[in-house]
Amino acid sequence: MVPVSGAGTGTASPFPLWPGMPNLSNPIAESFNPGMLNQSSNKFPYSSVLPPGLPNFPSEPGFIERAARLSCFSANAGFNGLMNNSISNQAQKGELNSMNIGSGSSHGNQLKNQGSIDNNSETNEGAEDKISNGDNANANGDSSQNDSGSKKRKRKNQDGAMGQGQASMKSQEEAGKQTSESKKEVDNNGSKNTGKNGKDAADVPKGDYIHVRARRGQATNSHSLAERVRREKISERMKYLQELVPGCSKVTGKAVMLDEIINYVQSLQRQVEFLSMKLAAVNPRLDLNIETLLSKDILQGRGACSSTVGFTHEMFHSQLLPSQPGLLPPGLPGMLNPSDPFRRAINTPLSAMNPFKDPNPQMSTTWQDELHNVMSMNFATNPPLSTQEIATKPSDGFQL
Amino acid sequence: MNRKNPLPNSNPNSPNSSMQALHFLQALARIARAAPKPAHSARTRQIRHAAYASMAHSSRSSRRTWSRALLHRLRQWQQQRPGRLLTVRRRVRIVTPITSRPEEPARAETLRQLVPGGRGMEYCNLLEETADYVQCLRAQVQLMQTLLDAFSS
Repeated sequence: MVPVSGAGTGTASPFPLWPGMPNLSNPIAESFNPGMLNQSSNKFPYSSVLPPGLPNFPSEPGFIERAARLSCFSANAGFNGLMNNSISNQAQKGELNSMNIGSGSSHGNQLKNQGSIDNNSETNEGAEDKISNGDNANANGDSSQNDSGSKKRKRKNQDGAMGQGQASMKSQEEAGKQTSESKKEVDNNGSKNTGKNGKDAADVPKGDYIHVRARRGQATNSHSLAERVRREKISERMKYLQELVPGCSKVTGKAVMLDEIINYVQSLQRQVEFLSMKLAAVNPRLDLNIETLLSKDILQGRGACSSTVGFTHEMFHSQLLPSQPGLLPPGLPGMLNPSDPFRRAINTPLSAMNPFKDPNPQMSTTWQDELHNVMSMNFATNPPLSTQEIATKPSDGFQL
Repeated sequence: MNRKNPLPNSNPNSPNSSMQALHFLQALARIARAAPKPAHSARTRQIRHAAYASMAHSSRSSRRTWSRALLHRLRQWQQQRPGRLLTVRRRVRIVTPITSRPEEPARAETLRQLVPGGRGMEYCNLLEETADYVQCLRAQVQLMQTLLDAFSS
């Protein structure tokens, strides 16, 4: 074969030759690879170990993509940036390929052209496969693995081992470029986006994944990133709970907070039990009242009751009130304190109920007032209540 | 995400709590209209069940895990006759050690027992459910307190 020189001028090919490789594709290697090889030799000292490591290559691009996806690099800026770079690389190589095709055909060597065209077309296909793999990176990793496996099969079937060398070199270089660029991107973006890290969990996930940006100076391991996200979620929820549970703003530390939350939930459940007991005692006489209340808007009264409920929580929290079904027998006359604002809020629904309770409006009102007096006394002093104490209070009202 | 924590809802006039209140009032009316049982404890139990049922049916919590678990528990309670001291549980639930992870503190187990449906959840979801459960419980307590105060003889 006449050694046709494209770019290279008969010099020894810098590209390592496999033993037994036909020389026909050599000029293609020379013309095709010089730019790439210069770069690659700088970056990859292990380019000479290509032949033994050849079977590993086709899986590398897929592996790199999967690793990048597992480490949750953001697809918006990071991975698309990577893909843009790789696509631009592909474009450059595509141009080189087309140039080589032109130069090859000009030499008039049919077999060589066929081999070269096959090589170049295959590498183009491989490039397109890689681009499609990159675009599908968000979806599933299996397809990329399958594609890389098919690429492996395609390459092995090929006659031109040089083509394999080219494709593998290119793939390795791309893989290396991708990793180095990903690291660079992470560093650059980490320094730029440290302020934006708070929104990582709030990003709308594309598909099934939540994309998290690795912070500057932190490990980019997939496990540590996931753990960091989890810790942030837990701390966020603990802060929210801290706002909910009253009296927890001054408490710090997760253990004490948790105890407070548990105590609060237990006290609320005890309150529900106690109130249901009280309601059961009061209920038999309120058949008509409930119908009335259903028609009226009772929620206006709830706003005024919020202050008492705050007291109620402490009352239940510090001591256990015994159940007193007979605590406030009906029909007790009592003092009237019109200055009580709480009573005013209650009197409005009471006055609404009056048409239904004509027989004893007076008694019901005074009974209600007595209840309020008892409650206000408890709130003011908050003493430990005993049954006798509660039972004697209405009697005081009697005497007055 | 839909499951992001909403702001703490302390407004008693929100539509969530009004639905809860309405449900509870209707249940109370039903209990009052029913044949008045002489046993005070039976009535107490009915009212307590009504309270929890109205909590579970409120619009805010109908999508939550704890509300479904609470309804399930309510059904178990209602099927249980008051005279029976021992209940035979047909399905034994085995709590796998997966629920207790090294990440969460030791008190998390207590919280799991308190919040309905807490045993099958991860710690991070447990906290979210606890927050919603606390909100509903507080609203229910406020509602019952107001009712108690508004009701007279």
